[in-house]
Amino acid sequence: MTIEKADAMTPEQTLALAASLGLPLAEERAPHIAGVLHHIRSVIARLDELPIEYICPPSFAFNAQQENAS
Amino acid sequence: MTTPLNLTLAQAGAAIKARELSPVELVEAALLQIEIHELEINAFVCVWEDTARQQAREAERDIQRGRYRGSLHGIPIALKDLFDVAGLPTTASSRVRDGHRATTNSAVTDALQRSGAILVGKNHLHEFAFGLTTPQTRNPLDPERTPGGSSGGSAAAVAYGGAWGAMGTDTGGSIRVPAALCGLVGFKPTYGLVSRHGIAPLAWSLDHAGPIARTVEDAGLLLQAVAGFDARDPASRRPPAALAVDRAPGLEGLRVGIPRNYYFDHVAAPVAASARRAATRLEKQGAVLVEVDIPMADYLIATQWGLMVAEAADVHARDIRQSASLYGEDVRTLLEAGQLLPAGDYLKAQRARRLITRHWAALFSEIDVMLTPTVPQTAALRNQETFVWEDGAYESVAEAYVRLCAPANVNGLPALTVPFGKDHQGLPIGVQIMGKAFDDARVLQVGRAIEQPLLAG
Repeated sequence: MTIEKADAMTPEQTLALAASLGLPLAEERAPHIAGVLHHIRSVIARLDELPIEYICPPSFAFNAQQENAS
Repeated sequence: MTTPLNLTLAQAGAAIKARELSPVELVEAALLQIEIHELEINAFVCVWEDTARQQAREAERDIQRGRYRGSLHGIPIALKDLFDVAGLPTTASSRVRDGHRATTNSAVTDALQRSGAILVGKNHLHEFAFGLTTPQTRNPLDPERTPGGSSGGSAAAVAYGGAWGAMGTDTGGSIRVPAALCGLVGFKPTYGLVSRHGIAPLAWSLDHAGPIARTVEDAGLLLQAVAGFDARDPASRRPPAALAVDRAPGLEGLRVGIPRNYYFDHVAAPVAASARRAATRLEKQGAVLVEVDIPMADYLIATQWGLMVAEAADVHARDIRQSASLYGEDVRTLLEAGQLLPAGDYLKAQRARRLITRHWAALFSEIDVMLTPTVPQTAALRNQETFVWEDGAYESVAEAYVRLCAPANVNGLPALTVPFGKDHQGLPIGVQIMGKAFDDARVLQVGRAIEQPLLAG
């Protein structure tokens, strides 16, 4: 199991990443966006605890009936 | 004397069919309520008074000539302003959509028009459905409180009598939350049962369309009108059996799951007590209560976030780069942060979803439905940002409202909220019933069994 730690980015790293993705991000917004992104990534990082490496390919054509058939 | 405002949708439909009530009277009653309440509540983006009156006269004439179309014929219905109506703007309650004009109807708009429903207007929502409070709209039961969101205008309109039902959308609770906070019934059907064609998306793999109404029966009638396979929506599915929304209420032997974990954690005492009283009510009608453990409970919200933030970011990838200042601050922040989310986080959530749905399928092999609170607390004050729980923990209002609803979006299962009791401030409490995929009729059946003694009383 690989646990990925979601480290917070600095405002400068956030601005650089945004620029590389073509997202015009105002400098004064960078600290706030970095904080929100860190919060979101920290929540999602809980999923690293799951044993999903081998048995669960992603399901892009999600089908509630198929997935929940009992 | 028949007072239209006191009639449910089903009762109004029956009165119209029997020609005891005219669609013209019903539409005038709705428009009067809108005139009285709208200045304070602000539930509608636009009200189509002239076309509604014209359609009401046409409906009256058709019915008099024997061309009755069914339960929705002549009934005033409202649409969340995410549903396209040909020739008119779909604003999504956002300045980003200024100048938008839909070229065709959404599938739901078409279905409602075919059924003879009279569309009275479009309702406000939390901008682009990305939020749980609808800050521009007030709760008709207490205007100092939020109506919930994102379908807040839809619920507010039905609650004050501006429409006999409304169609909303639900990506993490956006039908059920406002319905619960406004004392109404809200139903998120099984993923794939109602077409999303012509609805502005928030997150494709979580978005559902469904009804908000005063009673479970009314919600069932609306669902029956809009459900059906539509090849234009890639998620659309053909249900294994016909949708029988008027199934008889017998519950003998029905296995009702009552969660030991998750759904009663950090829940206000009156809300938890209401859900347990609703369970007792089902037990008295012959149901068997089964205590269950919610599988993967620690990963439900993480999965919801991984899917929703990434998909919403992609939906808005162009507009957030070109027009960021036109978004509200909360939505802009989430969309900007979402642009920076690694693809691996999204894939992780997709894979987790499969694991979750497998475990939930095993859970639902032991029960027929599950009964829980809909939201952990009743309607918050409009400027309230957090709830404080008994153990001193703080939780944002939005995160609290999404917490008990989002699992049914992650796994696509049908989920209904029914008003059941009030808290010590007199605010309505919603209880939630979830069922197996495409067992929507059973969920509605159980909802009616909870609701009917209340209606009778």
